[in-house]
Amino acid sequence: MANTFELISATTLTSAQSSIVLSSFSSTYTDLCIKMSLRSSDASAFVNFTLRFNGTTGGTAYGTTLLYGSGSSTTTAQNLNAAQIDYGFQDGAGATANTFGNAEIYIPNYSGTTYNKSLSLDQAQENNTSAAYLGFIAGQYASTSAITQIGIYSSAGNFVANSTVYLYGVKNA
Amino acid sequence: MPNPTRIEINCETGVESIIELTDAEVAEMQAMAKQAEKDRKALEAQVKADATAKAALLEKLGITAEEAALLLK
Repeated sequence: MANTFELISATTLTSAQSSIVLSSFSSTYTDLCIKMSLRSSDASAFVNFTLRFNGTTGGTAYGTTLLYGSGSSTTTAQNLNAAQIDYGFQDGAGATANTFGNAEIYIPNYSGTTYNKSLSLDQAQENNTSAAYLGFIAGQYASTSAITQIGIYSSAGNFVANSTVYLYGVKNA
Repeated sequence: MPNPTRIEINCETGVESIIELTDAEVAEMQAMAKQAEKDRKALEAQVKADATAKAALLEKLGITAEEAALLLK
């Protein structure tokens, strides 16, 4: 059971960015944990973000299974053999002003080189005027390579200023 | 008009770099975003379809959502 969290990196955007890339973090932790607060400049109320590791583009290495609720219903969605971890939730410009979605990603054994990588992601898109979403993701990155870079991408618009990303290393001893 | 930018955080040094995307990166980003946006719209459509189907079923059964929830307790 992991019992120590160490802050590796804390970033607050001061200007809009299409993506946020974390690199050159130590491989000596057991797991990684990312805590994020995100809002997009896109006009929609509900905007996706995606994840990719190690600078991959294209391909079929990622699988996402999502369980989510909108307040009035719960359902599931799945995107397998995809080019990215899909279905991240964030607020867009159409959501209640000054609200940000939030998400926590847990990546165990990120530096291992024997097995594929898995992750869990829990998240909320906040909106005080209409449906909001709460979601849980089981994700897989089908690669035995150590994760050395994490890319977070806004699917529409840019991440706005004051979006935050905190990266923690987790040690089990 | 300049291309969008990304922020790269070197976690070893703490240096944050703002980098303008190349045209190729913009094209790649747009392709990935297009797919993700398509997935999002499908997700929203599914939520609406589920809500519609649920309402239709409740009407067919002649019970309210609260009464249906009571049955499932």
